[in-house]
Amino acid sequence: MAERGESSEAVMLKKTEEEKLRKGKMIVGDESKAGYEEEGKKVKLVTSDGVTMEVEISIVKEMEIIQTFIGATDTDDSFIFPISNVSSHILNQIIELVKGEYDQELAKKLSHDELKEILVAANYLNMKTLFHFIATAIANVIQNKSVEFVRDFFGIVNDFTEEEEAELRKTNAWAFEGVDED
Amino acid sequence: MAEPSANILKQTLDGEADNIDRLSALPESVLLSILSCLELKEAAATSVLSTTWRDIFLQLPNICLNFNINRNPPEQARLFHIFTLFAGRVFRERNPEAPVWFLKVSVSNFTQMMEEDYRSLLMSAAAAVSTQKVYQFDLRLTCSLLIESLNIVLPPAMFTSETLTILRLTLYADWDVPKNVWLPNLKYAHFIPYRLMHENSTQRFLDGCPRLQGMILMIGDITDSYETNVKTLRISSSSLKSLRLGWDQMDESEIMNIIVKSESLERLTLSLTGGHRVNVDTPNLNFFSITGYVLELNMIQSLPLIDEVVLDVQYIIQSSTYPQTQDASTFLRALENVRLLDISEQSMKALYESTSVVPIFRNMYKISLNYCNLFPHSRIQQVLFNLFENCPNLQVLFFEKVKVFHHYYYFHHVDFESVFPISMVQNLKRLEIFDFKGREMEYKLVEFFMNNGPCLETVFLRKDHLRGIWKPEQEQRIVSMMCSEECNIILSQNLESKIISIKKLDSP
Repeated sequence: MAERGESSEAVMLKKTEEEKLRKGKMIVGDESKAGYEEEGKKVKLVTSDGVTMEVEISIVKEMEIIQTFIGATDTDDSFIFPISNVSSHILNQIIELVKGEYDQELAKKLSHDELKEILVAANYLNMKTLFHFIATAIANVIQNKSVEFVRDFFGIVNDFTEEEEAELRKTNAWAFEGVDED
Repeated sequence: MAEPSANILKQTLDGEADNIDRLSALPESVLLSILSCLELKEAAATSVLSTTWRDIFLQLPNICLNFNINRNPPEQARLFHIFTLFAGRVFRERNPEAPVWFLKVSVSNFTQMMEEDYRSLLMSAAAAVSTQKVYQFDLRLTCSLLIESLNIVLPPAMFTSETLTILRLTLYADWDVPKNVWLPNLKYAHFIPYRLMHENSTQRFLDGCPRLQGMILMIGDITDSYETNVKTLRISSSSLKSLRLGWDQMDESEIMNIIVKSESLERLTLSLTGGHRVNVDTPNLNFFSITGYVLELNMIQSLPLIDEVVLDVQYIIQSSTYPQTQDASTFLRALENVRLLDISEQSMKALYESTSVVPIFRNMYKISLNYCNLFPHSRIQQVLFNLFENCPNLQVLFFEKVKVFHHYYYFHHVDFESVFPISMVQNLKRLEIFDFKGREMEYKLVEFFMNNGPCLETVFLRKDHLRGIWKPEQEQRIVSMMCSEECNIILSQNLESKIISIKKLDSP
């Protein structure tokens, strides 16, 4: 239909209506049963500062590193997973972000150190959505900032000589050209 | 950590120096993830942070080189020169083993003074495409208003790559396919706009792309001055599955030929303006859409696998120079296995002119009528009646809109039975009006189907958001119509796409 030039919005609306219609006719229950069973189930994680935290399975599911464990062992409730690279403070922040469905507003409230630590944790826990979310948030912070600001943000020591830096600014001149794009 | 004191301060404040260290020791891939959220220009600025960072941006898997600046021509050219040098470095100094998933080179407001640099930009981009592992390449160029016409030569290397899977060229300039094309892994090619420079250019491209699956060509008048001497477009491919071809030809006095021949083709979408003679030879076609205008449409062989057809095409009445007017409906015989048909009023006019017999569409499941001023036109009523009579298994009838000429209100009684054969109405399971305006005619139409359709399971009436919501008296009018017990009435209103479902419980 879209090929005819009908607006894609219209096609989409039409599709959702059809889907709703189909769903309406279906007997609800069977497909969602599996989800209900696991809901409310918690997994115990021990953080780097020795705190044992019970985390909802829905959040743990995003941590692929733990998923590989869960897949390998027969999980019973007593099993405790150590996450030695993540502090309880950062784990709480992560839980907030996941529960808040990765709202950019939440990211704005985080300090620069928290942003970096969450990035490190997301990388370690292999949480892909969180990792991308935080990488974007960090990119937003350093965007349009001075070189000094970015060095400070990442804690980078400038090991260029003045001549080297000047040379580099010349070869990458386009990157430092302050132009307003159309 | 620019100054040592700041570093110490940080450690004493949060005691998390470990993490800070871990961050600077993060693998390049993590730093790259942050950089990939930035524009390339911005990412490149991180090169001066430290020696570690100097070349990280060069490994970004997606490269978008975007020049979109509008200054006076000399200043524009100066900036473009810097841009070109930068682009050259990006291509040259990359690790050639690191794959480039996406490469985009986009230049806007091109002026004559930028020509030399643009040529070198194309050369370095082409070198990257042919020697590095580039998977998608997107090249765009728009010219400043100062330029009337521009002819650019695309380096042959741009059409030689073992890895390239997608090639998009959006060049508002004349360009031709180079002599040698070798893109063994190319799956999709989009040339929008596309200029027909020589009669065999397109086929030369296709011959160099043995795995091409999808192609979009938009041939047209971007500027008023576009003219082509090429009168025939031949597309023959043994791999192509989907082809979308638009051809906007202003000069209607010229006859253009389109010949599509492909065993593998499954989807064909043609959108034509001007006067084209179209020959389609695609035995495995599944989807066929033709919109616009056409002189002739020939199906060389029948299409046993055809599923969906969109006909919104007007035949250009030919002058005496071409006395052999083709019978518009002969091609319908090739489509007799179609399941879904979307037909416009224009196409129905063409059917009316035709004399040949409409085939029996045994598989026809759904007919969509779009923009039909069908009721005042007795001729079109006849076409529809014949069509419906030849669809013994029709289950769904879809109206995009039920348009009515105003004079209908003054003098006309519509005899629905002369449009919709009662045998068809009796078998119909679903009736849809996508844009229900609430006119008297629409209510009568719905009532006719509800009263006469014992198999009707669903009546779906959707109000466009511009036309507001269903009012209680409107709902009541629909609900009170006599219909089968099994019939669900769905009154939908947008934007919320709220659905008011009314199951008929109290049947008469």
